[in-house]
Amino acid sequence: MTSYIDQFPEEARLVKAAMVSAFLALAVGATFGLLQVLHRTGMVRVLSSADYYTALTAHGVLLALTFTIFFLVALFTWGITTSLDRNLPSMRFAWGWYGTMVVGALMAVVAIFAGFLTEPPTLLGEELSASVLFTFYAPLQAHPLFYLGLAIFVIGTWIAGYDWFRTYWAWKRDNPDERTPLPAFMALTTMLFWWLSSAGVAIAIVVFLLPWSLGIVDSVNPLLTRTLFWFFGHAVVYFWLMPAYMLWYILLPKLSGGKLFSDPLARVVFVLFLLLSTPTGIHHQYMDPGIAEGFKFIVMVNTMFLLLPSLLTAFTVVASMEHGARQRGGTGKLRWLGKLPWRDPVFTGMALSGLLFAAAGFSGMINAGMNINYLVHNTFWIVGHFHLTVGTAVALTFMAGSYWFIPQVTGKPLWNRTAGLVQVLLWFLGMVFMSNAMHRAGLLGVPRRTAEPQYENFAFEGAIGSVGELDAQVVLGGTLLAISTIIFLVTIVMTMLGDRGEVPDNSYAGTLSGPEHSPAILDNLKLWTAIALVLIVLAYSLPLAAIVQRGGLFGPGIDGITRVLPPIDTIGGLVEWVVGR
Amino acid sequence: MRIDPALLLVVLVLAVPFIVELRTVAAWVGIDLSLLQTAIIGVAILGAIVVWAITGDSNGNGPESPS
Ligand code: HEM
Ligand SMILES: [Cu+2]
Repeated sequence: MTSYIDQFPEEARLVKAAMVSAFLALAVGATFGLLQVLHRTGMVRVLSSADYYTALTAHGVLLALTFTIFFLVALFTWGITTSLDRNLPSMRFAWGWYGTMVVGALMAVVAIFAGFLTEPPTLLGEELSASVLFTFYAPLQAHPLFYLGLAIFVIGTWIAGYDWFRTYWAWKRDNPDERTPLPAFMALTTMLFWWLSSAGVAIAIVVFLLPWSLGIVDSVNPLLTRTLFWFFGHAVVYFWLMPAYMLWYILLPKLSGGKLFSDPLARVVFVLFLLLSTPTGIHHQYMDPGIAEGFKFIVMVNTMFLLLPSLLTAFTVVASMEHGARQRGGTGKLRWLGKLPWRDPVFTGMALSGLLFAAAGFSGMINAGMNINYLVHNTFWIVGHFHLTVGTAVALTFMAGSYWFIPQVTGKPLWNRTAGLVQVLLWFLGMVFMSNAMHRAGLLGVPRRTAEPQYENFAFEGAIGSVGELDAQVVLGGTLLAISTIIFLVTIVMTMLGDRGEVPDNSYAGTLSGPEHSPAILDNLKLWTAIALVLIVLAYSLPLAAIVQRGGLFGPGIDGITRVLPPIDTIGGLVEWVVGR
Repeated sequence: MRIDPALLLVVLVLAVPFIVELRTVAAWVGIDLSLLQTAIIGVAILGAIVVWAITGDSNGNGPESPS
């Protein structure tokens, strides 16, 4: 048996490059995380408060978009090629989409970082800056380079998806009667809802925000661009999460020494995410005026349904781990837990991520409830919540997974298992401290997204412990997280600098109940995509129509469109002239 | 060792969230713990776990066989 680099040397280079890009984003982004923690609490202030949004934009864009998505394309490329046992059709094409993503990310990053300069350079007649946070809500406006960069980055991922699909189609032609292997099925369903949902943000950027930042139109309808952002914004959280789920389903059971409990259940889960990821986005807008309560209610119901696939996942993954532990001789109701491979950072990191994800599920249900959402909206609670989801369930799973993947794509054994183990434990510990204090501060009303969370003549009352103690807890957590990030990066670099040697085989978990038990209809991607489309139309057509009717496409009245109309008139005149002849 | 050293570390970090929230639970029943008191109780709990782990033997579910 062999490692990935022996089987797919060319693809291994691409996977490695994408992972390294992800780690670079993590290194820079995490630095800002620590700065933010120290700044907000007033412990150490490196930046001026005026630059806080610039830092926070860098943190959000680098971690939530760049780190996560580069890792995703690496993982899915591995999953498609390994599970179909087939090369990508053209490496040149594959490097093309990777390059597109790199160029897009760099454009956005340059625009953001220019914001730190006292005299930013001008480009296209405008000063470079993009301190608009990763949600880029209008009326905050960034330099066109930022929007263009994001659009190009997203287009890179679309082409990557096409590359995986055509690999799959070619495989299907050669194996018409075989079931789609599970990792490929997961990658493809994830990609389908990514296309559907990112179309929303692409429209927001290309049709509205970019022309607006270029001065082609005078205004936009902020509620419309916001709604289009969240059309994509909830699906993107599943875009981060699905690679983590994939690792929990196909790697964790194997590391535990057993098999995946149920392949059909795993397929059902991914189909449910394809169906429900997008028609739920309005749950981020419960507080937005201008969207009727009834629409918000429908979206809340959809959101509650989304708990189902996550509960199914918890069940299947834990059952698989128990099966593995019993294969290793574990006994008793709970004593089998002792037989799991806790010394292995890959296993322990993923298991701890899963545990914190369960905690995040509870705070997530509170966010999702329309009425209690009003209590926590825009407070530090929300930041606590998503550092458990994307900041741990996703990020820690990716880091732990890297301890398995970097040896696969380099052929070099992991530098130091104990360092890896300490790293994942520190991340867990740091996140427990930080996110617990964030949640509790949020309940007191401490706001998020501000450099100065203390208002004049107003003091937040701590219910249990003081605000000062909560601050100290956030700083303690943030510091442990920063140390953990450093250990992670050192471990990866040392591994990559090491010599080639013995590494685990490139394989993933078998199944107890295999694809032969899952109804063939589960593999009918056309059907599920069609249903997903219908659900999106049901959830979004009326709210979008109402938003446009009330606030206009480009803002109230048709002011915004005045600069678009003359060129259209010119074309119209031309057409008349041609027809008239 | 009753459990594998790696598992002991895991158990210790898993105990931390419970220690942190101990204060909230205590407040519900009318006991207001100071930060220092919470920390001392926390250290005592972690210490007790360590003592439990290093005394006694594994009864077959202990340290994983070296792999
Ligand atoms: C090194 C560890 C980290 C620390 C200390 C940290 C700290 C913070 C803090 C304090 C904020 C809130 C600032 C505010 O609202 O004023 C924040 C926001 C955020 N963090 Fe982190 N973080 C870390 C890691 C991560 C990771 C790994 C991710 C995702 C993969 C992430 C994603 C985000 C996002 C998306 C925001 C919201 C940005 C916004 O409001 O626009 N963070 N982080
Ligand atoms: Cu959401």
